[in-house]
Amino acid sequence: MNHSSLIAHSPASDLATGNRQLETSLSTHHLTIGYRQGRRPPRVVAADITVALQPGELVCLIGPNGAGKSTLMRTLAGMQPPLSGSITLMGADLPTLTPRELAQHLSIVLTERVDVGILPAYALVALGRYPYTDWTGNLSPDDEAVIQWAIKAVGATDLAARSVDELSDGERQKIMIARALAQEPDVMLLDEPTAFLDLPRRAEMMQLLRHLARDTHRAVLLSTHDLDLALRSADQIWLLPKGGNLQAGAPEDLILSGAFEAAFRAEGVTFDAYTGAFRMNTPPAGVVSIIGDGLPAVWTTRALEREGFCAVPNNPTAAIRIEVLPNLWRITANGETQEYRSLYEVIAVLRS
Amino acid sequence: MTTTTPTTSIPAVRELSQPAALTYPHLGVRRMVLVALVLGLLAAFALSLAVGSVNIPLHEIITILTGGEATRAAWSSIILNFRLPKALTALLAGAALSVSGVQMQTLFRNPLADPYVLGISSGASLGVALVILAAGTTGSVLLAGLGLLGDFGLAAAAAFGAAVVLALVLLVARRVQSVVTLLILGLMFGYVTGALVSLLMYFSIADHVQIYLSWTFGSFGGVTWNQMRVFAPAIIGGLVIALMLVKPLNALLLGETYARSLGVNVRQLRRWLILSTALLAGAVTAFCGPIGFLGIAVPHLCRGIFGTSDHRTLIPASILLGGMVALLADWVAQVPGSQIILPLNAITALLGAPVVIWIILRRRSLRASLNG
Amino acid sequence: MKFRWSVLLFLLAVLAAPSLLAAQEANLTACVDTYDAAVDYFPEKAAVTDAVGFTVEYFNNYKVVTVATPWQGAEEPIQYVLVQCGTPAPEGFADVPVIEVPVQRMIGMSTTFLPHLVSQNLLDQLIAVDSTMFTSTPEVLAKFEAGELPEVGGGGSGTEPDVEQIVDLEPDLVMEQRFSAEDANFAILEQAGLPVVLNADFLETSPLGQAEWGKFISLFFNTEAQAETIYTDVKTRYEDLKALVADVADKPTVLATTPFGDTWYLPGGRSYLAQLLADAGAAYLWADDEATGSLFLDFETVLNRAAAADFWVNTYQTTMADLLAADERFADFAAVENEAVYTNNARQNANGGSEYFETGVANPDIILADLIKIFHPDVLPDHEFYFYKSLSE
Repeated sequence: MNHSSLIAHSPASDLATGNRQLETSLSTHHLTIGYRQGRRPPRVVAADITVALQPGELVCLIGPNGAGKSTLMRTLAGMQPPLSGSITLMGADLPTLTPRELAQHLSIVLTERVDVGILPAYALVALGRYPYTDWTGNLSPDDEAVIQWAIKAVGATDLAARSVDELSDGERQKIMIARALAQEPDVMLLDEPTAFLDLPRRAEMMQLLRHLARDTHRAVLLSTHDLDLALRSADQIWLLPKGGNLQAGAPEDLILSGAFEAAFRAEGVTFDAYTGAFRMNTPPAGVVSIIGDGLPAVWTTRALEREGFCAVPNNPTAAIRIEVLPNLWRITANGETQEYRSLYEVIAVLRS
Repeated sequence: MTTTTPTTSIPAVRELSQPAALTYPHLGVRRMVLVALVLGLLAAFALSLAVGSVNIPLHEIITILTGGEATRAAWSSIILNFRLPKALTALLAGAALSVSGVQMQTLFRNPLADPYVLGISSGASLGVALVILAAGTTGSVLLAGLGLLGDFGLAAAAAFGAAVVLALVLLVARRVQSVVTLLILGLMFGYVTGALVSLLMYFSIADHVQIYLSWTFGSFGGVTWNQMRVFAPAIIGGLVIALMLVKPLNALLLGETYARSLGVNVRQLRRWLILSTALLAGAVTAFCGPIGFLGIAVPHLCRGIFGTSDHRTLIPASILLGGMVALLADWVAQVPGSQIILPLNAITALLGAPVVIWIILRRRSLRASLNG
Repeated sequence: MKFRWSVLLFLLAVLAAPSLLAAQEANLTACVDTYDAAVDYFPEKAAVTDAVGFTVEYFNNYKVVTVATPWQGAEEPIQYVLVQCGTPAPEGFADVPVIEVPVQRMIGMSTTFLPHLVSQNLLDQLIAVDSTMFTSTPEVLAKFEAGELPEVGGGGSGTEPDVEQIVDLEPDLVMEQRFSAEDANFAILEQAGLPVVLNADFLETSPLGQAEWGKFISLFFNTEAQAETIYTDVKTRYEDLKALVADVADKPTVLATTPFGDTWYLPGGRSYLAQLLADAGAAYLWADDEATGSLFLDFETVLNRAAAADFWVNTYQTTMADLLAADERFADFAAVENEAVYTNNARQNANGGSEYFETGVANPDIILADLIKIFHPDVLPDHEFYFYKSLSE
């Protein structure tokens, strides 16, 4: 599906972005986030955050659980006051905006599954027009146009007439994004929008968000656990490790600076800067010599590494040797040789 | 009443392709159903004027209603001073309970919430129980002064009790953020007042217990024109507030966080909702007793009939259907053709519960709304 | 029949034991020292004329009392054997409660017993009551205030009697009313092995019959003679009053009682109040009804029939202001406009207990006089209202 062709010529992209200057959408200045707790000193989650979000940018906020991703999102959305520092939204100091102004600049999508009862998806998206309609909530033709544009932009035209409670998680998430889009915000904040989706849907969602950001000149900030996808899709990564020392930059910058590896090392995960992949830290179970090459050898190595073995090519001194043949694995250990038809069997034997 | 946008045609906004536009649903109220409801309400109203334990010829009723002289003076009095205020009371009370039921179900995001979750009926019960039951020990002068059977006395006591408990709930609620806590608070205050009422009943004479029990049965018949001057404005005020709140209520369907992100001042909304429900449920409880079931069932019936949780449909529909159901329940409680009156509360539950069960079993979407 | 039997026995006794000839001209107020089977220990006997709820059969040293319907809906009568103290209990009454008379320590669980006890000089024998909250009889209240009359009712209408205290008081008799088969209080007392006797005066539908239950009480104290005298006086006065208006041509129409909420609990056409109204020369609007209990009618039905009623009696409220405060639509009744509304609660104690329901039970003649004064004031020009008063006063 080609979102960009749809979006680029949509009425709303003109309606919404026509008079937009290319200024920073959202920025923070020495922001400290956390919780006030009455008379006791406040609990600081992260301190001294100075970052900026540009129009058209897709930014992924990543970090281990408990590092304060949600707190940061809530603070940026104006739902929770910062402990100190400032947030600037479209050139205005965040606390000075009225709720309605804030809603016209910034929209959110949450992880939680909303249960709205019996409501067609179209009506749910229409709720995004809340900051623009009068007290009756009547939709003007312009409002309707924006709603329909938003539904199209997320590729949910066929869902519009269906009741929200009949939608799958992925379809529902699309509708929620369309709703956030119908708010015509400058900044969209999404809290783990891919959490309940299967792998293909996650990639599709990330793709969609990236296109939305680019083509509508909106800034999109999303928090995610999907590191791999974030590294591939984000213009900017905000990396929030435990301890709250947030680092921002292009994904590749953070890899090269070692920030990535440092952030996740404490979590028992090793980041391999060469492959851009994460590995579990498990104590070595032994050295295995791999004899063979090509794709079968690569995946045999992966399987062994998962089990904690150190796989080396053609090492005659290793206690265990595996000869990789087409659809056949020949294992020599303790002078005995056995043959297996699948890697599953090989792993099972080595584990015992 | 809010009007809803009758846009089925998509405005000519540039590149929007027309075929795609046809798939967008119409968000307006289902007009035919609404018209049917209005007609049903009028029919129920006419029925409760026409039928009572005393057989009055239809032409006499019309003569009386149009300001003419009836054959018997008692008939005029029956129609003008009994059936008419009773029908109006039923209509207003039914609308009030249903609307505040919708409000509470949305506020608490709980399909089992009803107008009394905030402790209004338990507070009212305590007020009434104090007046009726404790009266015996404080002297007959006070008893007579309050007008033991006087509904203004009872209404004042009920309103006072409801206000005290509501104030307590709100006072404690100021310290907490979550609506669930509010729900539990209302429940706990209900238990406490229930315990106090049973203590009072334990130490009262049979006559007074009987009077108290007949209050708890609920009745639309006790509101006189004199009391209508207080009752009707309270209900209409509550309904007007409810109609003003349809837009933020819709936003609240998404949950409080989303609602806030849309620019809704959730705390303020909560306050208005509570004020509206206090007026609606408070006035009904004060003047008619703690009438159950309507407030929980009619909102579900409306969602089922209109197939939507959109408050722009739900609130007007609840006013109409609530009024209609209350009129019919009252008509049945009169046991048409007999001269006795059954407890209204028994009728609302006996009639309504099977209907709601049937609708739940039939409509998947309503089942879904109940799972919320 | 009974009388002849006792004459025969008396004659036999005279023949067999001339030494006892002089004994037993009145019922005993104490125990017998030496039992003589030939002696009729109850020369003063009660004859029941108007009450249908109980009967008594006399034997030489005991009486068998039968309560036909001890509670509303009871299917079997209940019997008590009242044995003269100091004489042996008769054989053949294995399952029947035996009470020794004259009773010295009685606990009364209803206010309707109190006027009878006072008029028969039995206040000393009354050792406890259920509650004095709704009691009007001044002698009883005085005894309570002197600290000589404990309350054993438990405190309220739904409450169980204080069994421990009752047992501790060692009563010879606990007189109780049982309102239904489900009424648990009776079972609780009986299980405690207490001498419980059920009094069903409240089921009696005629005013005189209800008053005659004074004789029922007298059986337990051997005070039949006093009870007879008192009742005969009441009955004579009642019949005389009734005769005064028996032939009046103009019988005013009457509505009675006030509704609870929507429902008007009207006395049935065969009820206690309906009979009083008929005897007072009034036309009760529901007199044609066959019910002895209450009718449950809605306001509309009552208004339809009684809007033009000449009188409205037995209202709960005691002033016109209270009546109209209760429901302004009461003004639609002609009786209200004509100020012909009368309450029977002119005499209430501080707790709202009405003397009508206490003293009135023993004195229906006073109620009747009040009612005649209301409906036919010229017939009893000198009578002063006792239980009743006009709401317009």
